[in-house]
Amino acid sequence: MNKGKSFLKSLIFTGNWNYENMQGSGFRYLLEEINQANDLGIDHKQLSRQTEYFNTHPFLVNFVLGVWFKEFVREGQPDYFKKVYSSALAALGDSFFWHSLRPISFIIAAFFGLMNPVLGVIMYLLIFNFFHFIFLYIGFDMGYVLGKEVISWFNRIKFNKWSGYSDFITSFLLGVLLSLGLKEYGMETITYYFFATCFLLVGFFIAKKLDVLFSLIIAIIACLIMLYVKGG
Amino acid sequence: MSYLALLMIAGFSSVDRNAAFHIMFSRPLVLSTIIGLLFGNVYLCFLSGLLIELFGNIDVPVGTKISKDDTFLAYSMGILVSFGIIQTLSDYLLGLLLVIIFVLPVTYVDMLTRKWNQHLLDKYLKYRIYKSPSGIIVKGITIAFLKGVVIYNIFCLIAAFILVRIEDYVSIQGDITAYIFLMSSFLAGYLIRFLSFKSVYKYIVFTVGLLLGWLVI
Repeated sequence: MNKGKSFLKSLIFTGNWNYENMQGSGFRYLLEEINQANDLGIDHKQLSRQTEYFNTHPFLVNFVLGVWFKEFVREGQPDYFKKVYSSALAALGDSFFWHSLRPISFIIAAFFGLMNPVLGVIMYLLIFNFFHFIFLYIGFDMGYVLGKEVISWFNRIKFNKWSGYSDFITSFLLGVLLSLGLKEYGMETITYYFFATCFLLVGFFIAKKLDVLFSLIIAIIACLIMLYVKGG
Repeated sequence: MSYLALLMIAGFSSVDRNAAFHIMFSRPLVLSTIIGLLFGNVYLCFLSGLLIELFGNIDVPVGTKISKDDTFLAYSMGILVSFGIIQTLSDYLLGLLLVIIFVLPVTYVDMLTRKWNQHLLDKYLKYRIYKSPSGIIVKGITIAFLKGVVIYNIFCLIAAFILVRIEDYVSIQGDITAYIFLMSSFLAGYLIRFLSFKSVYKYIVFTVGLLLGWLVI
């Protein structure tokens, strides 16, 4: 199998994301590639069944694919483990990649970006895609070698704890970034610091109660009122 | 040539967000800074990206949820800043307000593109089930690209048009950066609540960071 080609295809498999089969079309698209490359001779009926509902975290799809093939080759239960692993890895992947890796990549990039915006962009792309590409690249092999025991690999690297470690660092760096921003780039007046503290506390208290879009609209209107009252 | 580059950026960022690659080109901090690099005012574009990225990190695409289109937000703010439509602090705040309101229809278009993908799938299942689904995947990516090129630019132009009309009547100078960090502190309060780390420690660590940042830097 051409790993490079398979990796590139897994970058676009979400092209037909929809409400009916979610990433099902993409999963079959990836299966066809591996089926052809390995001359496995999976029949059309089996392949067309793979267009059914499938949803996982897009960066971990190759693990599910590897497990499916392993089970298929040893005549086990490929579809059963596909279901089990797609939902398990969706939860693990969402928690790490979206909830934790994105914020930490952003915070680190923001620090570098305050020195030089280009450096910030480079850092963001490097940090995030390091994990993104590695998991996509090794996913199939891991899934295929370990088969239905692939979860043991995630347990071994303590993947479910990565979010916690990452959020710990993000919380600290977010505090430092905010201090840096307000002190270096804000106005050196007590009124300004008072309002910044109020904004922070209001953010704390209304988070999870009010949608962020509407609360940001309210925050902008508050800033506009402050500006017009102050007159610049 | 530069306008063509802009259209390509809009299209590619929409694809990166919705359909393929997911290399984070569509993230506000990245997208806004790149627009600033290409068309000017990179530093303010970067700071706008920083603010919008905080917003985007709160509203994440978990499961079937369609998160608010912060890519559009960053794209539009990048253009408004880079092309000099935003000149004063009041322009900046009004521009941000307008673009945020337009996020709602743009996000709705995301839902429509998924329904369109569903329509493509239905046709595929009916007529081409034994063939590879590569065709509907490529079509899905093309739709996402067109969505970026057309929808992002239409709403951005409307925002620019309204802003130019308003700024004739209202224009107040001020420190844009200071206000960006003021709103950032509001969003930081939000973000810290959404981090999945044990509550008490999370606030302690955040406060330590805040104090250390203040005292050391």
